[in-house]
Amino acid sequence: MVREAAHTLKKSLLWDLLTTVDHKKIAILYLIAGTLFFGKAGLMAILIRIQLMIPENTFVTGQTYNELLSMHGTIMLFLAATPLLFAFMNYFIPLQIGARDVAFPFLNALGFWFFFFGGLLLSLSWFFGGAPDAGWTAYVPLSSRDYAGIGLDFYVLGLQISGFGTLISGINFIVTMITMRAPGMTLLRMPLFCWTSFITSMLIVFGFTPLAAGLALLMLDRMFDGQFFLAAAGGNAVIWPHIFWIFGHPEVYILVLPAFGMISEIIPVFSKKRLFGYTAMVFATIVIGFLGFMVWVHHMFTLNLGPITNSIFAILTMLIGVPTGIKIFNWLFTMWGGKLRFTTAMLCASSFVPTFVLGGVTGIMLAMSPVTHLYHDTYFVVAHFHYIILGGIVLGLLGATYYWYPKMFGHCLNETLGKWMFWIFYIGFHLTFFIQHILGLIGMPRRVNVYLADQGWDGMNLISSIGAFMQGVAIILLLINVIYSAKKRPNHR
Amino acid sequence: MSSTQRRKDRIIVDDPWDGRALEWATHTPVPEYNFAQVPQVRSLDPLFYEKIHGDGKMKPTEPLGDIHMPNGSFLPFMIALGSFIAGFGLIMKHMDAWINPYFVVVLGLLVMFGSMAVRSWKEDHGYHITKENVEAMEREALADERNR
Amino acid sequence: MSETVDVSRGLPAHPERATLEGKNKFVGFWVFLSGEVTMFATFFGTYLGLRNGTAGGPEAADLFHMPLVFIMTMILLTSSLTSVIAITAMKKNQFKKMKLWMWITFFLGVAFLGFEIYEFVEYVHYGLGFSTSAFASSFYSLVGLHGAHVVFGLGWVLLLLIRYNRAGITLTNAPKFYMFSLYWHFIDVVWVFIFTVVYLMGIGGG
Repeated sequence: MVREAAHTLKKSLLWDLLTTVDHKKIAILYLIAGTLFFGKAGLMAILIRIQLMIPENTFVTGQTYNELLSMHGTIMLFLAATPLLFAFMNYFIPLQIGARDVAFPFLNALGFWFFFFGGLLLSLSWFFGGAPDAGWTAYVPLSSRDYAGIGLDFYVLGLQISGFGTLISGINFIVTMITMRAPGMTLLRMPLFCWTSFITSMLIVFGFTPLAAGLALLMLDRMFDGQFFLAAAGGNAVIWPHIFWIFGHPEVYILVLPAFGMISEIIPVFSKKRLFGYTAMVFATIVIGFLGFMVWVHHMFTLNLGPITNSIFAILTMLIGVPTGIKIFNWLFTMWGGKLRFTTAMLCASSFVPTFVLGGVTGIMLAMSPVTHLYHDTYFVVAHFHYIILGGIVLGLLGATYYWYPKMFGHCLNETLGKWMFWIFYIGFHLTFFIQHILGLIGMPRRVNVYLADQGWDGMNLISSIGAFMQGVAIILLLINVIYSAKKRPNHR
Repeated sequence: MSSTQRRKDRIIVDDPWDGRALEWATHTPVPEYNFAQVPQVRSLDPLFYEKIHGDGKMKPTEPLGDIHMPNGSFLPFMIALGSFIAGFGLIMKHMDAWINPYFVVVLGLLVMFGSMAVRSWKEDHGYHITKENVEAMEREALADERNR
Repeated sequence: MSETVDVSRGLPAHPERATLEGKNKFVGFWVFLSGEVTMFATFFGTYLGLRNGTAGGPEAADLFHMPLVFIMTMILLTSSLTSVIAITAMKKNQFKKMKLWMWITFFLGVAFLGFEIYEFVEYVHYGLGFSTSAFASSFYSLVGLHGAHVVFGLGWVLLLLIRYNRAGITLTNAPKFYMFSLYWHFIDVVWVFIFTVVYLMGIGGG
């Protein structure tokens, strides 16, 4: 085979994967690693929901529950969503701009391996005295030496290393899109997936560096007796939430913007229309990226930073609704009057729109700083960000998987199984999280491992858990579909 | 059946959704050089534009020629492995380790920065896929597509 | 890529950006430096938030010895100037001159580093250990991070100077020397901010 043996000596597959700098193979590596971490963190979510299924459950201990909860959040955001998005960004940015590879193929591989070893280090915590247990936000003093064990050391160093990888990849994508575009591919002809990935990469460069600094401070505090966060020696614990959320809020956009891009790729193809308001979409993306850095204090409204600070950040937060609204309407107008084909990819993409609107509306509710004291630290917040992350990012990822799978692997995924997966996932998702809005409003706090019976929470928690199992079934159906389709090779047109 | 043959059999679609962006203008599986000739982009949704206004194929901007590709490298793995060892060494400060944690940290940093130095020291100019090979690979890909 | 640039009649005007690889490195390094800015900004912010948290330990005004810091500043600013001269020589294809000025930059950097280590040792003698107070932790981490950047830069340029001792200026090594000089300027700019925010404000109150 010329194509196989074009240049190389006979290399084993393993050695090829360990040394590859080809953006397509690195994308597959990201996809596999991201799927493994996604499965792991998803399993933790199921365990959490089993524990909360009935009142006063003793399925796991409080300590284990805290570890599950912290690892679920940390893995999902840093080690599952990020690499899964990076898989598609790596594979399709060079192809979509007409380039032969990314700008720095070597750094591309380096980014992957940093991510991989960072994730490995974090996962090792289970075997060396317990996982991190201070939530994915790891607020001090809960995460200090006095209150948290060795798990937090794994958190700090694991995220530091995987953060390097993310930063390197971000720089790489930016340069790729600046210098490697094909002739005629002007900036305003770049597909929207490239644009959103570009802004995401910018957010990574300006967001992950404060995180690196913050993690370094926490590491110095824990390992070298630094005094940054301990009031006794003049330190200040509020510095950590500031630094964390200066990174943490852009992180939400880092994840959701590429998902926006995927939706913007899928909807025009299955509507047989060009994207409505392309330029407005590009500028809305830029504005979202810019405003994303101006709103971090809305995670800290209850820290009592003063009414003026809170008001300013409340207004800026609500402002983000404007460019997001532009995007929502553009997707709707793209579909309007189009020749719609509801494949699985299109089902995911079109259902993304109302789901994301729900997450956005609760976001506006949470942005009102006076009222937020009522919702704060309740299940309402949990429901809100799961609507953004599952209803936004995961639906985008599922859609992109069905859409781009044939380009990556040469055959489509089975559509019947795909539609079953979609409906089970979608119904399960709403069962799990819609009801959590109400649970939060009637007062159930988040991050609790047990609750007493007869507070009106029992039935809703049961329903929520059933929804979580349905989502698990849906993801298993996807994996079955991958194996089934590799054997049957369906070709849908 | 050889694994190559099996892989070839699995590949049955190039552009299943009637795509619009450039990724659907490549062969499936995508050759390692992506595009034998870098395409000329004439509009937003460039492939769809060519489907409507052209013959459905992207116009090339360059003649077929040798293609420069980067060499693979084991160093990224080594650099990241070094950081992993150093990080684990730091955590060992809080374990009852039989070995001095700083020894592990220094070892990790040596692996990491040593690999970086090797990368800086060795000039790696990559390799070229010759024009003949590109032509052969393109012919084969087109033949595959006709057989589908 | 490098083979497409004709070098038979000498190097092009900007050897560091003449090839696609060079151009990529040029853009990428600027992006990287912008990320470094936000990282240093975070450390600066932490320092500003904690600089009054001395917890009864030594305070900035008791410690800082301005003549020493002034000499350090001058050394680092001069090293930035010498790296500019080196890059100007590189653009004129004067390899020996570039090498000379790069070595001078290197030794100025080593001198700066020596003074900084001396400074830290002095402060520890005055009773300002890393764990003494929040002020101490944030001071050492900010200035120490800068020092770590200096160490990395020195190792980098030393490696380049030894590796390309006899190579002359090529389209491969011109971007490398150029990136180093960008990095060195960045370190210099950060030091100017440290001088202002840490030392001048530490002496002058505020």
